[in-house]
Amino acid sequence: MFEIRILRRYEITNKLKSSIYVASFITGILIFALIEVIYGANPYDVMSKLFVKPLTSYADLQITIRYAVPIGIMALGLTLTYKSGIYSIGSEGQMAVGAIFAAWTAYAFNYIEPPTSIVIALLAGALGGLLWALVPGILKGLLNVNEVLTTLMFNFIAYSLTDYLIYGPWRSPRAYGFPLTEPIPKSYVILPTDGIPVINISTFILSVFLMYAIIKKSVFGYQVRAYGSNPTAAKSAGISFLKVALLCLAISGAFAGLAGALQLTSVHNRLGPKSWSVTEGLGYTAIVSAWLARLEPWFVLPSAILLGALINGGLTIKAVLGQPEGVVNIMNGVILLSIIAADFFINYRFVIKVRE
Amino acid sequence: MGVNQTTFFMKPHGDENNYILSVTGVSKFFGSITALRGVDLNIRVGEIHALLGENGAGKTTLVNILYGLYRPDAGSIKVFGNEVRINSPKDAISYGIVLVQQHPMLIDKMTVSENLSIGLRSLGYLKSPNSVKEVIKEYSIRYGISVDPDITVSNLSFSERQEVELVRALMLNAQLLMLDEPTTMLTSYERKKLFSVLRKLKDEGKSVLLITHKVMEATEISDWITVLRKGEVTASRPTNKYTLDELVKLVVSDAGVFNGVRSVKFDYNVVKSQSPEVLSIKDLIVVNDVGGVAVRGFSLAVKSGEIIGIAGVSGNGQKELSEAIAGLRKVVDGRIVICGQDLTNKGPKDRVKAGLAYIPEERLKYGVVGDMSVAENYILKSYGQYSGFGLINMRKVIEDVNESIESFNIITRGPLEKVKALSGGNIQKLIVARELRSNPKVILAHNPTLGLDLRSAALVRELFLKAKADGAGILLISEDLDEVITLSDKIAVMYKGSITYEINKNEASRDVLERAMLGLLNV
Repeated sequence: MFEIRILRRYEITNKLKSSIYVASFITGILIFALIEVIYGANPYDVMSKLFVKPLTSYADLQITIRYAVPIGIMALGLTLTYKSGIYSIGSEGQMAVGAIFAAWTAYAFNYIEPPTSIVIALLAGALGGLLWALVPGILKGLLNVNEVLTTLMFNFIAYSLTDYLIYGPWRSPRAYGFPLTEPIPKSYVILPTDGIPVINISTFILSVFLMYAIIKKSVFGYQVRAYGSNPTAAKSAGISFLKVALLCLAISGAFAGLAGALQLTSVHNRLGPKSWSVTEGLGYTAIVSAWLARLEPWFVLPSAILLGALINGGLTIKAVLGQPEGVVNIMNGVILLSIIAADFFINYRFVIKVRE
Repeated sequence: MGVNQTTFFMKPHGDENNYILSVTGVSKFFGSITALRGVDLNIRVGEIHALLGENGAGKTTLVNILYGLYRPDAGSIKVFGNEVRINSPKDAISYGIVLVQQHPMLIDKMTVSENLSIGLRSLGYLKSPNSVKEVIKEYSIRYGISVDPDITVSNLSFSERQEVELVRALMLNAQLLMLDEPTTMLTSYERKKLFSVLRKLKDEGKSVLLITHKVMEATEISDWITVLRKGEVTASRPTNKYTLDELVKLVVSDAGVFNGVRSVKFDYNVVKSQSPEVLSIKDLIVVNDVGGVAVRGFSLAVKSGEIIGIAGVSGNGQKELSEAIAGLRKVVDGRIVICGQDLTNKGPKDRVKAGLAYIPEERLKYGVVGDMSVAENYILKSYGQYSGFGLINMRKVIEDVNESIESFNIITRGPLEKVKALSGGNIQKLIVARELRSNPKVILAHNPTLGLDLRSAALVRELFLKAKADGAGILLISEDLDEVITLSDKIAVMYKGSITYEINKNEASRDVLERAMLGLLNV
């Protein structure tokens, strides 16, 4: 008789750890391939459209980056808040408000020329996101109000604010009756250089460096890490909770607002209702990206690109293979679940014993 | 499973088979660090065997190997002469080896019998809470264990939780009970009670492996002592074949540094009456977590260059008092003045700034951030000094940490090792190193040598005396009466939240203080 036992691991090498992650990712893909076979599709075809095409074809790579950059920038901000033990899910709303601020700047100062205009718009977006995150931050820091609730509520308020603007004062009379704003002035539009979205990519990479420096090198990052892993000891060392909560939420808000401004100026160029919105739900995908990266700034790069590719590949299998929307969600779920399941194999090991 | 459990304990035959457990040549390496090298350990049936060693000598590593949590890199383990492989606690339990956890793992919201019933069920022993009650009643008669099976665990004291763990071990049919530093959190009465239970277990033919760093404790209860030093066995013989001096030398790796158990040398520089008050507490009232008054009308003053000891049975408000002074607990009424500044309503940061160093009782909860490195914990209160332009100069930190690691003899794999990987004694040394390096004006220390081996404790005490000579005022709250008597210039006894008895050092006697601690004496 065989007996399988699950035992806790007390020691693990880095090599084994990373192989477990890779193996679980591959397992996720295999499970999804199996689902595709059951569905009656050619799994090879699906896989190449999902993973190979979005990362190899020139045109597709652009679309992947279009998603990966905002996801990544927001995930970086969230990394900081999650490290402090504050679980913000407000990137979506902060991103929307960032886009609103950037749009307002563009309409109000339409005479400014690039590159100043672009810089101003991006900074305005960051400021918008920061302010939007400040209210949950103050509530958390002063009254210890649960940030999960407040940041989520603020997402809906941000949606409504956008709706108010596009149906109300900012509605364009020339949009054939659609609830859209006027396109932002040309001087505020970020165009790719030789087909490569240089500004978006470099903003993302700079953000990675910046967040790495904040978390790993700065005094504030030190306080955040201390607070996140042992609030009691941090408190007795005199680290202020108000400061940590407020600054973490403000910084992550600024990153999300920056992502919103970037999407507005480089992709959408106008504000629109839900189906055409600037945020596209990416604020929620960023949460997944941050955790996939194990809250390590460097790992946000691959995790954001992976999620961007999955969104892009999902669009392809929907459009080209005619598979329903649900298939894309299944794929996302299966792959993310298997990567999260890796934690189990990192913490536990299996022992198979032969019984006499 | 290699051997059938029932036949396993039947008849030990032959000489070697009299060893319930026999460990030969066990080694364990963590990277380049040697935790254990060629360790032999033989435990006989019906024996209380003490495994004696300093913090970081490798005692806990050995226990983890015997309990299947680590696997040895070399050596063999035999149970009644049969070689076994212990891959998990479950294996260990099937051989009758049970570890009584140092920090009992119980579910707070359940009753004792529910806890025991659950713990046993997961191991394949089906017992209902009711039958567990019967067993507990039986044990209470047989061994003098006095746990009420219907009480919710959150209402139990530490020693009662430990008793529950003992009951669990016995219900698992333990033949060898391993206890890792079981007396660390116990009062002397509770310790005596635990020892009497252990003796009764021994009389029934069970074996006990007592892991301890306390020489006196090992000689008090054990039949046999194996001494572990820096991962190697330095001696193993019957307890009565050791002399105390010899034992101390065997335990302490560098006997030259060690000054003897209680004879720390220092000058009693008499506190001058004109020395300034560095800490003054007036009519302090503090409540505990459930809203009861824990500190009632507590007043005290500590002068520069003076050590005031607070003796008392734990649970008389010491925890709340120290937290209030450190700024971690709100003060209901009264005043706390540090170096002339009224900081009653200020946070911990202002108190650190005013010159307060705090060596907390629960070091893992209040003292360190376990997931951060030794270096990062070292600067927890002084990171400002190492920063420029908002960034931390890690290179400078590591230089300073390395210095402290050496001078405080902190056993660690390096400044970048996570603190949670260090042994309790070494964590305490790190905290003391951190707190004393900034030359604080007031030192608040709560059970500073709890769980420390002789040499580390002596080192900590010496550092206090040095700080005192440098003009620090020290408030020493300790359950260790000997420590209070040795170090303090003045001793106050805390009973039910206030000072009930005060005495000068040279007039203090253990007897009188013990009576005062029980509330039998008043000022």
